[in-house]
Amino acid sequence: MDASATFWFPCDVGACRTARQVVREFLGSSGWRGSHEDAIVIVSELFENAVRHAHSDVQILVQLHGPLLRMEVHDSDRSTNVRVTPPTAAGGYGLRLIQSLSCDWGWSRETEGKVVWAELLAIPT
Amino acid sequence: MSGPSFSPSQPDILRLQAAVLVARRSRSQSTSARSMSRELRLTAADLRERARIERRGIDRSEAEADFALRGQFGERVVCASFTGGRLSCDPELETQARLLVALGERFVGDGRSVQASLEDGWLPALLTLMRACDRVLRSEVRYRAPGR
Repeated sequence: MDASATFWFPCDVGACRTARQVVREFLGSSGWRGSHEDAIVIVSELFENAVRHAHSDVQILVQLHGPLLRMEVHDSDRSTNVRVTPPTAAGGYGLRLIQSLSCDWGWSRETEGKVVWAELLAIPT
Repeated sequence: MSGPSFSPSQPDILRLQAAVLVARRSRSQSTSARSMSRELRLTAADLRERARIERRGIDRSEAEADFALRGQFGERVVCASFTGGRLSCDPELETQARLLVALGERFVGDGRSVQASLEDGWLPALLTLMRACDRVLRSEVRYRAPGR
């Protein structure tokens, strides 16, 4: 079962709620059997990080390959490194959450920005 | 002139050492509790701040976006697209979507509820059409900056 969804959103934290809603509906309509709530938290954190730190429009790519769900968030900032830092009043919880909820995550630079991704696996019941 | 000499007994020394250990442990526990409390306060502050920003944020994506959708409906692959506020849709999928609208379907999440509709902008239309499909195969949403 393969399916994909691509969403381009403006650099606007307010759009995060809409992003969560369309990704939630996409997951529900695609029949993926993993934890939708974990996936939504991850997308939300990736999206907010891109808006807050990269200050750029955001492309969300959600791909299903059988039980594997891969979520990518692309932004147009090449200068910032993505790293887990100790939490402070200003933040620092997002990547920790992603790290603990996903089975794998990472980031890489692209020609015109960077991508941060996370993967979740649906465990057969 | 020398004062009275004080030579504590062994039990006195042990009592003193025990008191010091208890005081140290108590100080360490309270330090750790303070640190935990600080961390929780930071987490709560962060969550409050995020909620505040989200509430205040103007969701420009809701105003202007186009989408394309491909899904499975029965044995068939069906398509829909929404461009410049105009919906174009496979008739079978549209019939199913209109049925959802008539049934008053709602999309609930994040403390808000979106009513199923094909006439109230891209978001309700996309959610309604996605649900009308048996399975979504591909979906693309592109925010359109005003005036573009």
